[in-house]
Amino acid sequence: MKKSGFSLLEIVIAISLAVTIFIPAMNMFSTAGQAVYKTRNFSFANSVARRISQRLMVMPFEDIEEVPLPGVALCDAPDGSFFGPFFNNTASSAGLRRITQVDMPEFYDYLERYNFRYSLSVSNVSFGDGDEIKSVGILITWNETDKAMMSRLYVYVPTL
Amino acid sequence: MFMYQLFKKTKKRSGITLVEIMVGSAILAFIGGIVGHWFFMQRQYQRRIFEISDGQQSIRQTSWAMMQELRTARSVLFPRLNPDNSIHSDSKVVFKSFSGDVICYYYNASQREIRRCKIPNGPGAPEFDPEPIAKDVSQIIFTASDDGNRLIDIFMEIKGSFGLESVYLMNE
Repeated sequence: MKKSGFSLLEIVIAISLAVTIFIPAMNMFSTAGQAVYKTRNFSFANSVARRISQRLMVMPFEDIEEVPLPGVALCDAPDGSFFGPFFNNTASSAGLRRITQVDMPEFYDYLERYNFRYSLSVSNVSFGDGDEIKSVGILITWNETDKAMMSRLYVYVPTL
Repeated sequence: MFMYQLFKKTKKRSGITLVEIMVGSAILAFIGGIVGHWFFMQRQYQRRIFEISDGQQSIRQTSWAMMQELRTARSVLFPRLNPDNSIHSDSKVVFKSFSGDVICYYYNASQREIRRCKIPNGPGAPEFDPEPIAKDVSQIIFTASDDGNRLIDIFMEIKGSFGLESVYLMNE
């Protein structure tokens, strides 16, 4: 009598093979997920750069100075930087809060995980008649799985 | 009797034994468990990704809406720097808009949403916008950080995404 149909062993091997092929194919979803994380970080870096650019508008012209690479970390930022102190819900300086593990734990963890930092590249341009502008390059750097990332924005600040 | 024994000897066995079924089921259950767990993890991951993407988009839209109005505002009424010149934050911002209306963006903690209303210059009740500006907002902080009260910092957290903006009042 001739055997017909599949044996159990054949079916099990077939399923195992199908699963082995199927799982790597499904990894494309996690690749899409990584793209979302990347976009979030770029978007955040842009907003950080915009924040610095807006604050440059109200800074005394002579206080706009070079901040060389590797720059200043946003978490635990020193006082007097663009990110320290960060907020204050009270009516005096006694209530100042900073981006620290104690004051802003979730935000701090996010900044620390990616090591977000800012640097400024400042060039003076003089027009000879006393007018001057500063060309400021704002560099935001961070790390994604050991890959160095950067976003930059240029702004021009006049003396007036 | 002799014929029955002969039949038993010559008949070929077919089908699968109980042991084979059990071994097969065990292997399939093992593979199914791994795949099922993987699917569950992927589903969680996808949900998280969608939340981050939604949060990011929501932050962009909210920032844009508020910044457009704040940028051209005449003056910020609240929050302003403290008397000792320290920064001052709050979950609402009140300002006089370009057209002279007093506008307020505020955080409704119980509904986790940001709303906008127009406060009349004279007597009368505030006019609330029918729809919130943003939903599922974990926190928002408006900070006055410039002694001329020309700069408002905005910090937002929506679904695990963070937004950090500053608005310089051009008309001040």
